[in-house]
Amino acid sequence: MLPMERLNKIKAILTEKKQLDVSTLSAMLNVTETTVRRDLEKLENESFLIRTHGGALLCDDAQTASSLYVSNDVNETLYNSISSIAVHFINDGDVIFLGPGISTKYIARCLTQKRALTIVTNDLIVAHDCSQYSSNVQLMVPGGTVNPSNLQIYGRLTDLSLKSFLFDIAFFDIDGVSLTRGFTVSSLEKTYLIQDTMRIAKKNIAVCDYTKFSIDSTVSVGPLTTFQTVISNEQAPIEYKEYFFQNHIQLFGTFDAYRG
Amino acid sequence: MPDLLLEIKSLSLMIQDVVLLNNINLKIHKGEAHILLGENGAGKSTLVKVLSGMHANYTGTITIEGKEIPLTSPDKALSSGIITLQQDTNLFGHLSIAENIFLDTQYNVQSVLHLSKKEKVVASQKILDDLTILLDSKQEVRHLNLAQQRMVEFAKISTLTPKLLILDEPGACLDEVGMAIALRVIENLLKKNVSIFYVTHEYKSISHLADFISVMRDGSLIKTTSATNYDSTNISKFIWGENYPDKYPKLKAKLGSETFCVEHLCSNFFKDISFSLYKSEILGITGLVGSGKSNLAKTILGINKFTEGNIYIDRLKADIHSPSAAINLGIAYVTSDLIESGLYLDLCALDNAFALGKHSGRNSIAHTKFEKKQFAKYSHRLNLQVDFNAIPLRFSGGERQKLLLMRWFMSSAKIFIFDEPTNNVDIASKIDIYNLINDLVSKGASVIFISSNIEELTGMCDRILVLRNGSIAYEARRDVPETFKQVYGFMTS
Repeated sequence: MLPMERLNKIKAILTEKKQLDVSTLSAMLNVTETTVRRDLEKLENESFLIRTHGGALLCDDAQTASSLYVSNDVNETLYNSISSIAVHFINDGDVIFLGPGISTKYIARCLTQKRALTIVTNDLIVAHDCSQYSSNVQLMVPGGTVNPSNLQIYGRLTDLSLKSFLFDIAFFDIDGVSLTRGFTVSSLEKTYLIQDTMRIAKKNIAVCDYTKFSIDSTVSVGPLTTFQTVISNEQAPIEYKEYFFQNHIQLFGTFDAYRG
Repeated sequence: MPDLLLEIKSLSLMIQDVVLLNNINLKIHKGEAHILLGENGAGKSTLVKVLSGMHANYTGTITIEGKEIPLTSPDKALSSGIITLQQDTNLFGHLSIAENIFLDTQYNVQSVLHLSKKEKVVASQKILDDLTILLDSKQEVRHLNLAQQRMVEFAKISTLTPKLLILDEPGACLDEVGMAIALRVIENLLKKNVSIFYVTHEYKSISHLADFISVMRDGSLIKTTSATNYDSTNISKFIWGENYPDKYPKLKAKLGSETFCVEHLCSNFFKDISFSLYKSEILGITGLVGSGKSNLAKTILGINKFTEGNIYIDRLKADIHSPSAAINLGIAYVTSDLIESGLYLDLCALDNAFALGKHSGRNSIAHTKFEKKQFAKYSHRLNLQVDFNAIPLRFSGGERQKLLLMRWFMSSAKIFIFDEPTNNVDIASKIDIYNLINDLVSKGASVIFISSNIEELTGMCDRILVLRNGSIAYEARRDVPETFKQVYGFMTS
């Protein structure tokens, strides 16, 4: 594990548990206690925590200040596997839109190997992870109003600034997929954003892990034939696999079985 | 307009929730040659099997000469005057040609029950000679090659006068001379007012006899047209539809160095085959039945011997003299063919997963904790929901394929040969298999993908080699899209 990654892990664990002791942390992270102590010291300097004898306490201010940026995602492996498929579509020099959501955040994290990419996103959490993990890309954020509960940017200003791009690929995080209602997302503004951006992207890809299937979210994006390419997991239900194949839609699964 | 012989109304067939035939409507008149075209997997052979009484649980009606007849058994079809020449030859290997020709007497013009063995030999020799088939009627059928067996079948058919003769890919293994003889037999039958239902890839050779043409796609009959209206330039559009390979989940992988290579490989079944395979590449190999594609796979696997040429793995000369040598060199073989696959249908899934040579010392009675753990881990990774002590005999086609893949994934194979991996596999498992192939190539394995389903190959492969009569007739590349459109033409013409 990289030091940066480890620090984030400690932040995540501490945000959840509020307090921790060094020996538990060293076991969880599989590093020596000395390393843990050094990490805690660094985080104390960031005022994220207060060190105590044999452990650490979360700074209350720190929790409120950075909790949205700290990932507490339970299904991390699920998202990682999806993003490892998604990066295959990205070519050097592409201009890419990453829609708001969790899965796109993980795509933003694995772009280190690519060259001369331009990433545009209206999700500040996606932007945060992109700059942290894939600092080699050119990152652009549109103007607009920030929603404080999820740090996503929407509004007329957002629409206007996105219009000036021509995207090679756009990835959209989808909240619900069902045979009856098609693709759905959690808010009206997200739907509008997806529908508008789809028109100015050469290739549009829906990203949704298998837990999103047979679920209806609030607002419809369009029928199941809206996207020509869907990236999900192999656990996606059989009837959807059949539907997509019979309707000429590519469905990518995230098998990780071969060991080379 | 001649009289109607056969009418199929809203015929559908479902097996285990898979729709094989979807609302087929078709008419065949007396003395008419009706050609059925379509891709592999379009449902042509399934339709043939329904008409020959081999799928009893269809829905819809089949009317013969105005009477509705339920074709619930092969016997019913025969007694209704329908004779089918299946894709595989159906002769008795240990009987002579003469005995095979005079085997069913039900439709023979003259009663042959009383014919002595000697009389049969003389009579059948005359039939062979009349058709200019150069064979001795006393010879046992098992000594004949595929094309010669097909000729014997045509000789047999020439003695019969059914109402309807169904031929499923009869020209697949025939050369020009053989094809000419077959066409002569068909022409004579048409003159006797027998209706012909001819199922094929290859329209050209039969075009001069055709009255009507139907095209099937994805289990549906999408068009029936008279042969005079048929526009041959539109053939591939008819067969594939407008937007063909897009539905396949092809993952772009960066190709690496050469991992496998055959040079000037020759054997009894093919000649002078040379090609290279690169790291992370999916190389398709296609061809009609008898083109040598399956024999090529068996040769690479060390099952069949080659007479000339060399095989290289990672640029080193490889000595593949047996299947175990091939396995040790990291070559894996996955097929939907039950007999060839190497699955033991009556052993449990766990024993099957650990059945490779290197596990030969294991105790198959006591399953170790490690093995069970390994099995659980891999079945989760492969999205395979079966119990470790279940028996593959009861598995679906998709489950068998995944079990087979599990065996190879636990070995350290680097070169995977898939031979018709999606035959008899439901759609959901097909998608899983395609995505598993993606998993292989994205981690640096190389794949040889043998299939007669061109749509699937153009959807998944980086390059496609077309085999014809045992040699490479064409090479198509994904980066030159026009070449992919030519594959169909090179396979059949």
